[in-house]
Amino acid sequence: MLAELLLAVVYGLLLLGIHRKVIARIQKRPGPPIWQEVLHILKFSFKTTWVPATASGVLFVGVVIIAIAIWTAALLVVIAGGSLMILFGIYMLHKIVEHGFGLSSGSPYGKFGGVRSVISAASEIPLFVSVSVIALFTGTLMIDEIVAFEGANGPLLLLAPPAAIAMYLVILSKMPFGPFSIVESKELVSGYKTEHFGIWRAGLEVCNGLKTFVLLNAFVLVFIGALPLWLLLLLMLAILVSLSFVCALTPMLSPFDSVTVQMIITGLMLVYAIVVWVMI
Amino acid sequence: MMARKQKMAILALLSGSVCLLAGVLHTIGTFDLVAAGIVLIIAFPAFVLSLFALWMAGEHAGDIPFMGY
Amino acid sequence: MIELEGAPLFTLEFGDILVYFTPYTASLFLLALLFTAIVVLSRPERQVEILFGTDACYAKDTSIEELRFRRFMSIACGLATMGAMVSGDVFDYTLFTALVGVTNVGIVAAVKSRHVQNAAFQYGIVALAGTLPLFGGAAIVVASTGTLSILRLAGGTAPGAPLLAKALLTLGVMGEGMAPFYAAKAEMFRAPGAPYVIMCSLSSLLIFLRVIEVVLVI
Repeated sequence: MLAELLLAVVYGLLLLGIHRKVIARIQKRPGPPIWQEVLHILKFSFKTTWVPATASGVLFVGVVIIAIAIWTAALLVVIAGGSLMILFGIYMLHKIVEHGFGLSSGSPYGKFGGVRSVISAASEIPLFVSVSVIALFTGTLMIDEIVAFEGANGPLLLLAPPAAIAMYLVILSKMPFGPFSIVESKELVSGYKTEHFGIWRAGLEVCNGLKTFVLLNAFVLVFIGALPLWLLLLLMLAILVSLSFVCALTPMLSPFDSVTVQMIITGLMLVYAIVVWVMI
Repeated sequence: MMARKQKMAILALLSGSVCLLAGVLHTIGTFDLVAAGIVLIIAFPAFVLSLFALWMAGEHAGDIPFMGY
Repeated sequence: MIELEGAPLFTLEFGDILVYFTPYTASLFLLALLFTAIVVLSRPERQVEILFGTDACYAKDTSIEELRFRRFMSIACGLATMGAMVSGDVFDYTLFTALVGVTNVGIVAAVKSRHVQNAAFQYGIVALAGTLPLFGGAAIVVASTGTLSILRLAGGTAPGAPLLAKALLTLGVMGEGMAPFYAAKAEMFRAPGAPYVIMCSLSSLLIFLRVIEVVLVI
């Protein structure tokens, strides 16, 4: 269990580093080394750290702890083959964490990052549709039972491709440098992360590593099925590289367009869920 | 008054050993996944932050900050 | 039918009115408790504003009375959210959900900012309109099945609730602050007092996560 946790943090960070490298190579830049995100954590964790004078201290520190705690919980749910509902809940709670990061410091940049995170709340609904379509197909929400179902009936990727696309878009909307990453766009300095420096930022990066690993792992597990570890890690890498291509080739949308596109996707997914529900 | 470095060292050691204990007890089968998971969810973030705070904390007082002319 | 998230860990029954914890609702309850504790413990931040076109920035002052009232409302909101997480019958769930909507407006009602007031007013109207399908859903559940207890409805001893009731319940909860109605809330987050404002979004998310469980099992 501890080994999985450490693997998740390090491999998740490595994936984020590869993400940056692939984007850079597509854009004909050399790009940072792939272990850059691990170096980032080390760098931030050695910096002098305090709580800003205007910040709400308990919340400022508390959200960092909560951020790591919820994604640790998410990883354990995936390992234990627990309920997809809990995973969905944790994904939504990450939004609260973003609000907490953005609002707790009193900085205007952080605040606008937080407000943008509120308006892009529509990005969670495709995940819910994806979860409910999976429930309609398999009759269960427990990950281990879904994996067993796939062992008998073939991967859900082929049975319910739109649900896979919905979850793919959900992961895309959480990737840095993507079309939907308006919460950390550069006109807001770093958006909701702006005021969390030093060890707080290092803690946030640990959470980001865990989050990337959990989301990609859950995607492979739910839509392809149980695999040996090396193949699982390889597939996660392949999905990540495809996400990097999308991120490298699409500009960041304006907040209004980002929300509109997410709403359209949500609408399409709801129609698909209704069609599946009527057919089954 | 204990120095911050010392406090963080104690906290890191404590939370780190709790994490390790939960992991080991789960591996040998004393703890089921839920119990070990709950311990880990509480102790792991504390361990990460206290470890970083331990690294970061200086051992002697800093320079006098530049206050402007 | 989709399984309840594991067997209930604890049940306290008063006939149709009951309280129960499953692993899922217990974790939601703990989160509501945690954030309410943060509201109680933390001091609000001081917002810093920039004067555009210059290097100047200034910290806004907020009066103690205003913050006291808003802290009270946030704690009330936290309590209502916890109530919605633990209540095991449809009626109490809808009641606490409606209370969440009211306290959410209360959290930002004392803020002296036009944008925040406008957003709170619009959100308040949506939340009020949302209570109609919410209580309507609960009424249809009890009229068609004869019970309000979620455990009894999930256990299969009572006839399943009609789809209309489930749809109305979901619509009502969405009106209390989920996407797409959530957009009205965005401007409310301009208000100072981060720990209090966060209760607005946390309570909506938690009641939405709970209503999914409710409509899946009844």
